[in-house]
Amino acid sequence: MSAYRIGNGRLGEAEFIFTFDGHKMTARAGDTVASALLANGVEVIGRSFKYHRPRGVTSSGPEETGALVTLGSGARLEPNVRATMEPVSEGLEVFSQNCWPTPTFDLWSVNSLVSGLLPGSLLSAGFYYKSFMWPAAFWHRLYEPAIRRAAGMAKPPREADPDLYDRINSFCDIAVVGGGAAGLSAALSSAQSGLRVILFEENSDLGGQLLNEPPDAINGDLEQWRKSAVVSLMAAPNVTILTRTICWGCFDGNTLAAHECIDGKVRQNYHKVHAGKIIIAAGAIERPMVFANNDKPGVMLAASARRMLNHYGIAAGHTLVVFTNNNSAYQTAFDYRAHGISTLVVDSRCKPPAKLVAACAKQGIQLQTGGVVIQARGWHGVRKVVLADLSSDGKSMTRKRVVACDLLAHSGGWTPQVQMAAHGGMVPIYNQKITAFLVDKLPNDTWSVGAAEGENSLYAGIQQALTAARLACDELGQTAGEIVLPPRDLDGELNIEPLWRVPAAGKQMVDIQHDVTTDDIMQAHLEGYVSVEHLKRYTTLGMANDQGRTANVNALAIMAQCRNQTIQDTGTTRFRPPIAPVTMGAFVGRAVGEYFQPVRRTPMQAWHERFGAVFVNVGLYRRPQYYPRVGETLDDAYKRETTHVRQKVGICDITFLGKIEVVGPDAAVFLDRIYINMLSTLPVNKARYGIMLREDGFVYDDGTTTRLAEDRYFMTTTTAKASSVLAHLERCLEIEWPELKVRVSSVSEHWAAMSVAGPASRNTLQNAFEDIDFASEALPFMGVVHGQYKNIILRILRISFSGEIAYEIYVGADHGETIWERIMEAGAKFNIIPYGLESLGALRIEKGHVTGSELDGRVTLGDVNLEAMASRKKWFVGQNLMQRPGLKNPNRPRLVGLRSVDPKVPIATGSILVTDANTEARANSEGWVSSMTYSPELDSFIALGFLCNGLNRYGEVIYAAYPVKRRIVAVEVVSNHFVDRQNQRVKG
Amino acid sequence: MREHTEFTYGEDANRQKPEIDAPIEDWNTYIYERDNVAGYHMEYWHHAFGCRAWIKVKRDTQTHAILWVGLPQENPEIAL
Repeated sequence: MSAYRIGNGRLGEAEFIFTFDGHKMTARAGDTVASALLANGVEVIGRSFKYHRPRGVTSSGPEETGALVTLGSGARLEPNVRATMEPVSEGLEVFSQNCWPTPTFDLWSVNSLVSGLLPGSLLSAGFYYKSFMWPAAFWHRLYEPAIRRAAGMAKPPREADPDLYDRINSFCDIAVVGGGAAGLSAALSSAQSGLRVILFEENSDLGGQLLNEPPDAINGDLEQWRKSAVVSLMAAPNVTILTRTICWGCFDGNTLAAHECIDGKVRQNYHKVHAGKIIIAAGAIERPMVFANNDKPGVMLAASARRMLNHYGIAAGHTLVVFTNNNSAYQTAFDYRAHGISTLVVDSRCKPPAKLVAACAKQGIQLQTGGVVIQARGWHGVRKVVLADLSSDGKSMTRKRVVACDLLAHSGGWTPQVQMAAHGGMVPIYNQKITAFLVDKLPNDTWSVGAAEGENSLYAGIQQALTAARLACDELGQTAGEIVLPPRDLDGELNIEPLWRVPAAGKQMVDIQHDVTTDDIMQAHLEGYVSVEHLKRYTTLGMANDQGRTANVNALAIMAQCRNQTIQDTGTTRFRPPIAPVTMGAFVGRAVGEYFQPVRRTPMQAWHERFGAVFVNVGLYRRPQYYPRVGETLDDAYKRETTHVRQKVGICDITFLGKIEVVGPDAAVFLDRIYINMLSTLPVNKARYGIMLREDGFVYDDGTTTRLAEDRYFMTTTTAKASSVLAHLERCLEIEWPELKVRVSSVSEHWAAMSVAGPASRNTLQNAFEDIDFASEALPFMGVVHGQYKNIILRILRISFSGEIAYEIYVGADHGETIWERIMEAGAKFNIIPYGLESLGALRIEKGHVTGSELDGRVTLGDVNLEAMASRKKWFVGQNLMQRPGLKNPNRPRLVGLRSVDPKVPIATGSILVTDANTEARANSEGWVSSMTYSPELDSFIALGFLCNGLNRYGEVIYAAYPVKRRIVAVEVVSNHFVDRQNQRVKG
Repeated sequence: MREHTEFTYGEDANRQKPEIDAPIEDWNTYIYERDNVAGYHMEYWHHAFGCRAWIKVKRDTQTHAILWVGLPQENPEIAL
């Protein structure tokens, strides 16, 4: 093909410069990248996915299979853009893709040659699955990188996307999907009711197939109607027109998802559209004919070639051959011939309608009936085609001959765009007359009209649209209006006689973008694939970014031929959104970087920041991880903080804990059912450690519960489980035991919390809050006291996570920073320091306490050596199934301590525990490492882990293997209580 | 009318909890065996981002159409 500008079409006069692979080219306002490249005579735009076959422009719309380009560079680089959908702007950088060094001289095209020599084996369906299986280790080191380099589309950008995207909730009474003649009519008629209408059109211009019609003064009567329809809609205050906006999904409750390209300050919008009624006027997509080399540059869908001519003013070639099995492609022949272009029509039907035959004769168009194109020939683009006569049974061919041409326009019929209608789960039914699938039962509040409903005639399609608009408005209590009809009808009668493939050999592309051929489909059939869903996944047919818009019906028909069954019985794959590529940016909207998710701050956050804390994200919180002094690393800092707490005193922000108040006369009964241990016997002003199980008998969560009054408890949960525990309590109260008089409410945000731990913690607090008695007699271990500091109410629990004497101070959130600063001030003479999450972890591992790393949802009470805690005097959630034989198995991995034999060697969390250092770790696992730290007190790396029969193996030396990094460490099995095993310190 | 994003799916509401002293097999059935219904299904939902009530919902698992909503102890007056 050597295309050239032949007229103005609907474009503006202004010309500007863009570049293609660095070469300067001119474009006109209104050009797409595809039309501009054609106007500059560019034939080969890129190379194909698998075989690196040369590819050019195959269409003028969203169904584009060949002209995929990369736009821009650096952070704004965007790969795999359909050139037919992207408007050209001044200075736009366009790049070919998937070729090296250039699209016309591409070294990877050897794939195509190799494949040609060994048909049906190399690179055909299932090739990767079958050829690169063994040895397994070769896959990610050798095969996958090599395949990835050769196959695929474009390179992605390496930098963060600098552009803005928005998510928008849009509301309307009537959503019209598609801005062709039917969509325009539905919108015009609906708009007169005064209802809010949104019209979605994925192209830049409204009009749909009307844009294929000539816009000039002589033949431009339809253009006048199109223009006035657009002007009326733009003037209507209740109508929103969204062009370059694809509706890509239809969801429950009349919700549509739409993706709008703006390229302004905001680059793209994601609309969540809440519609009262939906009118789908999404049109139809022309299907290719399936013959050898039907993917060669210069082979173009017939209506698209016509759109290039009439809308963009581009003749896509000098000599045209039209290959068709229906009436519609004749319009392309007529319009090209009218521009003086030599035209031959090859019609596979023996008897096309007489009026078309007569029109060809009148206009000097050669017509070959009962003929087929067997093959397109040419190195980069079409230069010749091989024709033949088709026998009457359609199975053999005679009289082969070669004809020169540089543009082959083909039409295998039209496929209604039923995706949106089918998203509700409706199964499309094959329709013999239009030779495509239609949805016969639409969801409520939804109509499908025009070519999307298989109605290709202009007037009939508009009548469907007007009926839908009238019914939609009626149901909404309003009245749709009349519209002016176009000055003449366009006959949409196709008289199609399907020819699903030309019965000849060669690379007949079915899914052009994914390089799937008829041979691939036949091979899948021979290998026993009978389901279309499997065919799709095995051959990757329909899985490219055009979602097989042009390919699916042809593929199903070919499969049906193979299986000797009907197309209906073969069925379609299920339609799922999105129907077109949507950028990740549009989904994410503004939720990027620091706006990715909200940040929860504790009342002491500002203090931590002032004090130079290094933070770590834990859920939505940013928790102080450590407070480095000048020159300190993380390791230096947490070792120092840990040592300091053991020897002196430290303070830690623990506001992150979940806090729940449980109130009511039945609160004690309720908590006895929730926890494995007794809470009803807990005296007022005492705290108790509790564990809850899930119904399946595994450990759910742990925490401390305080009894504030006979009917009032204050529960803490782990940070991670705070919200799910609350939902669990609410579920139990409302569904299981509605008779219990109990209320639960989250008070997590109401209380600031801090832990003061270390031998000097009592003196620190006594100094800070003189009115409260911190003596052991007044406030013993697990005791609770309420007091005041300058009218600020404090709740103080004497509990310990570190194993040292420690207190948890709870105070109203507004006073958190005041109390924190008071403690820091009063503790100065005892050398108080703040400590972070890292040393909190080190302290609790030294003490052998479990956290989320151990309570991972897969451990039982026995696994964490706490089965003795479970009360036998009452029933509790999880009691029944914790008795399962499998969970009682004494060989289950149990919680143990692990100590590096060489104290300087760390033990990686996640390591597998094995007895023999020389065995394959994964196959001989006897447990795993759940947490590790350096213990300043023991001057050694230590860890917690789970080991089969672990309690009977203290003193044994085993190995912690980390196969990913090929590390193995000798460790001694010890008690999980590394420090103060008699638990005396906390009671001091 | 509330946004569906305010609600979180809870569980199958058809399950009958065994007596506390029921055999462990009954508890196993209660916890692990579920019908995967194509059609109307009674289930519990949690108004997690709202009033935090648990509600009972009869929902078509194929179309997501909601036929009936009530409190956990309620049941539809007529067979639906």
